[in-house]
Amino acid sequence: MALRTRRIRKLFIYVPVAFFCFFSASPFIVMIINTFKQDADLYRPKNNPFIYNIPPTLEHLELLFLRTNYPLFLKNSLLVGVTVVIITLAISIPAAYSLARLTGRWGERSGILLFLVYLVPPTLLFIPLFRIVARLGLVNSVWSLVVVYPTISIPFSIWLLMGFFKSIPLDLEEAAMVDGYSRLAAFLKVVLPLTGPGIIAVVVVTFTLTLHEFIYALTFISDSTQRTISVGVPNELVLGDVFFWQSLLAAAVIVAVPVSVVYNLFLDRLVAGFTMGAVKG
Amino acid sequence: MAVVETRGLKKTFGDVKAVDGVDLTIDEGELLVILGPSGCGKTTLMRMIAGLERPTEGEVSIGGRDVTELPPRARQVAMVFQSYALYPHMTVFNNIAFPLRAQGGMPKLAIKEKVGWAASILGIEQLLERKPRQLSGGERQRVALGRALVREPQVLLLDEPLSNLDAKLRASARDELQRFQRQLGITTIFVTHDQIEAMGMGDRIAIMNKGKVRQIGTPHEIYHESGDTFVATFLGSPGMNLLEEHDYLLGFRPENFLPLEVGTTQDDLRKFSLHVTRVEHLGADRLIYGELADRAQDTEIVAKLPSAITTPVEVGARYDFGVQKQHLRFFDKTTGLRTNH
Amino acid sequence: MQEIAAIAAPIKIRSRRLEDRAGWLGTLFLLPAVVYILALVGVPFVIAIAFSVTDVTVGDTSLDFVGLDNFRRIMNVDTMPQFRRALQNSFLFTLVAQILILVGANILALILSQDFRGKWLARMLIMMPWATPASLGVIGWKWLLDSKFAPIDWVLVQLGLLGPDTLLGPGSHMNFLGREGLAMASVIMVQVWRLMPLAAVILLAGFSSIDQELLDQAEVDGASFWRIHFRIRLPLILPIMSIALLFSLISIFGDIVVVFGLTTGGPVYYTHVLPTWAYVLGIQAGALSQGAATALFLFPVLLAVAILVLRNARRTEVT
Repeated sequence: MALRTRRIRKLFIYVPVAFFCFFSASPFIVMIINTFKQDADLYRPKNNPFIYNIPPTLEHLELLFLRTNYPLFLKNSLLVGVTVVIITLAISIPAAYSLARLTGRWGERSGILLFLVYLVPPTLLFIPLFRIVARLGLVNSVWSLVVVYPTISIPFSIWLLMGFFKSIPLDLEEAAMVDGYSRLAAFLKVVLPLTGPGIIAVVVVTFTLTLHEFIYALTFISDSTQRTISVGVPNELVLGDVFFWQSLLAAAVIVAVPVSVVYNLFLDRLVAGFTMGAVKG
Repeated sequence: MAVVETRGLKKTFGDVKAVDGVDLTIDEGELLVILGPSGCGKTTLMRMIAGLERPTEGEVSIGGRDVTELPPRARQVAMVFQSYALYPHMTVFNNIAFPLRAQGGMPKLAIKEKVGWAASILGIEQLLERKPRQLSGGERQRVALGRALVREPQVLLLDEPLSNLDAKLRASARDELQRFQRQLGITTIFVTHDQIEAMGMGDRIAIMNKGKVRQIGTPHEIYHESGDTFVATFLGSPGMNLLEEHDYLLGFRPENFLPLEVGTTQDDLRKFSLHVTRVEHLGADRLIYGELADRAQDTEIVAKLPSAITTPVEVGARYDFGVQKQHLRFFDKTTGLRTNH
Repeated sequence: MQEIAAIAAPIKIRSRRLEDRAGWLGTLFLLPAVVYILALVGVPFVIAIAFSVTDVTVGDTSLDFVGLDNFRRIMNVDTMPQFRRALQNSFLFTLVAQILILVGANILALILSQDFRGKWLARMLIMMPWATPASLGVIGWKWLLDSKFAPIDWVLVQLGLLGPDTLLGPGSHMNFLGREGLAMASVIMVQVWRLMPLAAVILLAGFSSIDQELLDQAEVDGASFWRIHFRIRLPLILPIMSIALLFSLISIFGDIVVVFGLTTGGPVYYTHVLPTWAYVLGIQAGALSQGAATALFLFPVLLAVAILVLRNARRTEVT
């Protein structure tokens, strides 16, 4: 009897797992396969899309890397991602600490207000923001995104880190103050080192955000060399009605695979970050 | 010479008076225990002395200096929290060294020496490379103490440092704590809600209730010459019996309330007739609960008989009990303060 | 007194220095965030409102006040049926997708909190939709669903469900994105696909924070798996589930990429949502003021939902 229930249990786990894996990843797997398909193979509806009816080719990858600005897009996305993460951390960490510890009642209220700011979607702000960006002389520059993206990542990061700081016992900071440190020093020496998982969560979510963001990237930048992956790829590889499918698919997969490997590595820390930040917050 | 002085110290949170006017003087080398039930303000008082709370009114001086406006780090106090507050990401060595690094400028060798010194006093040299989560409760407490002592503070503040230890450990920890304090001669303030701890440790005890200090004195003073009904009923297990009589309150302690047949035949006895309702056998003592025959009220009176007294006492029966007149205490009905009769 | 002479001299501080003052430090820490948000969210928001009550267009940049004219114009069903459709779709897509995401993320989180072989690989595969830029994932789906060489069509043909004389026939192209109902379903499906991983991670965090003792107690008390799940797990993670719900809700309601990339609002205008219609009106047609007015409809709805969810989460907080 025990053996049977264990088998049933396994079924209950593996079947859904298989389903979800299939649902999530099958587009990518199919995309990978078709990246290498020759046009003659791909553009025949009757051909099996899952196998190579004609031998595979690297020409579409060549197209992607050598004859489009894809490498530039990758570089730009990376640049934007890293700098936005830094800016976000620099602004969110002190703000979250302030709201969690230093401002009492109206700190809580401000926290909620902050969250509400998050509700103003980019699709509402992109037109006026374009004007502002133009004023700053940043149109068509990657830096326009670096300046604007933190407005999306900061509210969430503050909220997450707030919960995190609250879950660190007050005793520790007070002990440090009695031990001879100022409030500021206590924050730097005792609280911050304990915030690791929270910071990781913020880094991951912020980076994802910069990768995915579309509307600002579309509106602010028209110079192809300054574009990020999100807008650059569709823009270059979709000309009117013509889709350079294989290269497009390649572009998607090339980013997805390493990023999801990295996310996976950090998943446990990420969950810890969310747990502390969100659950106890 | 007074090392710590508070004058008219008050702290209000909203409309709650946590500390309502406290004047204390603590002498050099003294161990003062602040005893009281939860919510009496003892921890708030200590935090004000440490500088973690700003008083609403009043002043604090340490070592003759007015420190009321100074942050904790300027006061040369050390504190051990109830939770020990050990920095989880640092080794024991670094935990203890932390206060020494606060100012910068102390050479590495000096730091090592001092940490070693503190660790050896507390017997934790072998734990220096461990992290807090690897330590037992007793070990953590010593590390916290080591961290407090390493700076050679003017005042040592202890916030219920023994309450997280299990019962057996507590007694020996208390002993050791007292020895340190005597050996090092550091002025110490010890906060607790446990009266046995308090009575066992302090040179003087300050009993607090509702933000005010009700009485300060030696353990003997506060127990045998309790200044008001709160102190009288708070101390002792069980606390003093109180009876309404005429326009005052009559009090006597359970251990002084004995069957007539026992003890002296002095006629200096006040006699009562006790109708026994309950008997508890606690091993070394017997607690006899009952009602007094000639009283209409249902005040429960308790007698505490050491097991040496083997007089049989049965539930439901009536016995003659007595209290020596020297053990009677009188309190004012309205103020609760001790009066003479 | 002590054996080693005191080396550390007492700290000479006259009064509370700035680093000690909680209030001052708190304000200093908070200031950059506040300034940033005010400048780059507050100001544009006000400008957007200003646009919506003026007649500004791409051509005419003067701001002439026109009151609620723009709003009247976009809500006029006869001249602009797209708006009402977009409004309906925004709600419909968000609601359906949200339910699917919640259910799916719940199951996913439950599974991922168990141990099983190949978990590492499974996790990686499941996370992939979240790891790729939304626009590219959407293009991938577009290919899968819509192009003349769509693999999904091919599979259906092979299964005998598509083609002449079949259930879904007669053509050999399903035309998912060209048919109203299927297009709407496709949009919903892609939203679910891209948002479920994040929701699952958040819920996973919630599940792993539940005190194991509580679950053990329930088992001892005789509760079945499902009872434990619905009566104990779910109520305990209600606060964090509300947060996950809020995030994905905002992500869907305010999203432009999926509809734009997949159907560009088509067929005709049947899959438009508020953001895409605002873009079409404001940028493509140049009627900035009407575009802004359309987009403004996003805010009150999100605000109302957020308040509801947050209030509910507060009330259900157990610890």
